[in-house]
Amino acid sequence: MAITWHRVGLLEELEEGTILTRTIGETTIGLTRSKGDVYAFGNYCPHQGAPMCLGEIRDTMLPSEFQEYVPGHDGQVLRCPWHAYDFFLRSGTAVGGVIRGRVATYSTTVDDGVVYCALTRPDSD
Amino acid sequence: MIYDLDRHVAVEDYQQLFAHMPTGWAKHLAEREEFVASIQLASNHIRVTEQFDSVEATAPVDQRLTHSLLVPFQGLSVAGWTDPKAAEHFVASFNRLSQHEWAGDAASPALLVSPFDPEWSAREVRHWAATETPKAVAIPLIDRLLGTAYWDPIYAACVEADIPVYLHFSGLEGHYRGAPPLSGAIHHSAASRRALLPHVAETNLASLAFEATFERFPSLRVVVAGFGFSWLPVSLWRFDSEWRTFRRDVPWVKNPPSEYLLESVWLTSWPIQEQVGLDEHSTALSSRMRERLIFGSHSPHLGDDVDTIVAALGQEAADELFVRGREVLGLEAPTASRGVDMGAL
Repeated sequence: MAITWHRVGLLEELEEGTILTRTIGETTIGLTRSKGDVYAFGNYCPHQGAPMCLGEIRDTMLPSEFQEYVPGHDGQVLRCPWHAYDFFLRSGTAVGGVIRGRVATYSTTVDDGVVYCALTRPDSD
Repeated sequence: MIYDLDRHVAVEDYQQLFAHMPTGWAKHLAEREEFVASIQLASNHIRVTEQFDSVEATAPVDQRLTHSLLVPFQGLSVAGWTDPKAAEHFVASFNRLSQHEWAGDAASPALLVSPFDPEWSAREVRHWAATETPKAVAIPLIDRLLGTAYWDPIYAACVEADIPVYLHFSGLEGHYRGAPPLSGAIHHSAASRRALLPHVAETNLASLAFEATFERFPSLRVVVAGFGFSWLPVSLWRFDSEWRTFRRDVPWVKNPPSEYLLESVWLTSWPIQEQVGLDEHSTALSSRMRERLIFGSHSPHLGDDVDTIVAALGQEAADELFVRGREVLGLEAPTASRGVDMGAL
């Protein structure tokens, strides 16, 4: 089935670590840019439905030994604005497996400085 | 088969212990009234009335019990002692007396350790594990959370010997400043202290989970005795809920706290009256939680006898409860008689 790409903005509008909110039809998505890549995700937390576009792009703590803190995944984690659950930007899955549900993630592409999004899962999934 | 994992046992007179400790220490303890007084005080286990004085050593044993874990609860009183070395000699003498005089086919006294010196306590565990087979190691509770690395030497010794850690209140909890606290502050009455004793278990389970004790000691087994159990679902739900939000603060907790606790912790059933009837019992606790419940009569301190359990849960559920403690203690199932049925030949 052919993928339908929707123009959602310009790359220069997307600052590293910030979230832009866009709509495609009736679907609200969040757009962000991290380490050069562009990500798109759904505006709904699988925990209690929080608006993920109001979340935060950041790092998290990796599983570690007792009383050791090992930060990791800098810029690759989307934090829920309500209960601070962390989700991987790329897959939408919860960091540490704290919840089974996942944040929807969408395919993106950039062509000549224009960002396009398709309401399909990214290939990397 | 009935396995009782909370039956109390006591010395009638502290002088019984003196024969099991160095002469000099026996003389010293005999001369120091505060130690003798603490033994007498501990004999009134719940510190509410005088009715429990001196009943423990002579309390009749239900002959239906297959095996009992004996709790030398007077020894737990060292949690309030000022002299750690005296506490060591005291629990060591209790261990010599209990392991030699009270252990038998139908009863195993819990081995006591000192809460003030985990390294010494680990040596005590290894010493007894090498020669006898204690079935549990009772830690007197002090104001140090059980998940902290402070206790790790004891846990390491217990894992090495494949003996569960056993937690039972001493009655000192919340009783004075410096004792393991209950609720938000020091309570003023025996009534509130006793009503809130489950806090001690909840707070230590939270510590064991959030300090990742079971990550460090995956095969450690913990028995929580005498603190009730009806609070478990709410506590586990809260532990998991907060872990989901604050996982980053405790990244060493790699699974939901309830997973660790439901794998490694057992709770005794006293007081079964916390849940009235099998319907409530089955509804309030998930099947996985019910599987962590083991029979502990808490006798003779107004505990639940076998008939009380059967009346509360019905015979089938009671039978499941009665037998569950066997594995926790590492006991083999009794073998059936192998008599030959001559009529079948």
